[in-house]
Amino acid sequence: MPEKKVPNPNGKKGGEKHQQKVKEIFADVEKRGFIGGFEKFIRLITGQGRYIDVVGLDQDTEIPVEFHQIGIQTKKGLPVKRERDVIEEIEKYKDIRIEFHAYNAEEGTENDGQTN
Amino acid sequence: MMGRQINFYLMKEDILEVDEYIRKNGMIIIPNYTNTASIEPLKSLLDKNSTPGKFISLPSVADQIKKRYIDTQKYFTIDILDSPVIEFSQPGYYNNTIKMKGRVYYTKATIGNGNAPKNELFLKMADDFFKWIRKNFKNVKLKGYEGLLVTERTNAWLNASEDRELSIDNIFPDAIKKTNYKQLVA
Repeated sequence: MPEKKVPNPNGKKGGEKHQQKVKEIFADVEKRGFIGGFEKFIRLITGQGRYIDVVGLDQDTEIPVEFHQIGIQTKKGLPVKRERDVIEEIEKYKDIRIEFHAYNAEEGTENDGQTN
Repeated sequence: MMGRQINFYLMKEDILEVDEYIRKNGMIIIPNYTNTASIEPLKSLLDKNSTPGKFISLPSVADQIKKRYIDTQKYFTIDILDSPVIEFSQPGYYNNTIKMKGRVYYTKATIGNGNAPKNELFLKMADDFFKWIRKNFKNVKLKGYEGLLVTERTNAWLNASEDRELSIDNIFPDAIKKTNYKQLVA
């Protein structure tokens, strides 16, 4: 029987590139003097929960002041649709700005799921 | 990455119970930010002399804890993703009346370079600790806070005054703007 190809052996843990980018952003957050945090849980007004990949907390107040989401970008350099939806949802309900970092920036691309 | 976490609202007396569990089970509390690369355990999660952010581990795996030097800030931090440690965060209050959410968090495997599982002893300790938290602290299951642990003591604090509330995710846009401004003018 032929071996079944597994698209992402890490499953929910995210691919290797995603993880490396998470580490890179986290290191940058700490370098700038914030307390770094991974996978911070937030709840939207709809009741749904979301995890933000990396946050930067103010050292004095421990309030998250930076929010970073890591994912795939499209040919146009935008987050793919599923990422855009999450970012827009959080920004809309929480009045915060989320910085998006693509881990496929050098390679370029993924179809964004829109029909032009 | 999908780390394991419990988000909670604990009062000081609750944290003293966690301290006692840590002491009884031979675990150690480590500060996150230090001036040296060595591991110097604290006596309590409530230690006020250390910088924010604490980690919990075992003495027997302490030699596997990795520290990174942040040259721009001149201190060492613990690499949580590659070390056998549990993050314990217990933020304070916002404007004295809003209690912020804390959590315990760890990853079962190292992140990157093949995702090797962490030390078995550590994983067992972490699993037992998470089970104990859920069992020891009765969750009052406050409406609107589903999935978050609200202890009986926290509920009593909350009910003591109408001014009091629990922050669901510690996001305060006004405070963020102030901090960003501080960063800009620094």
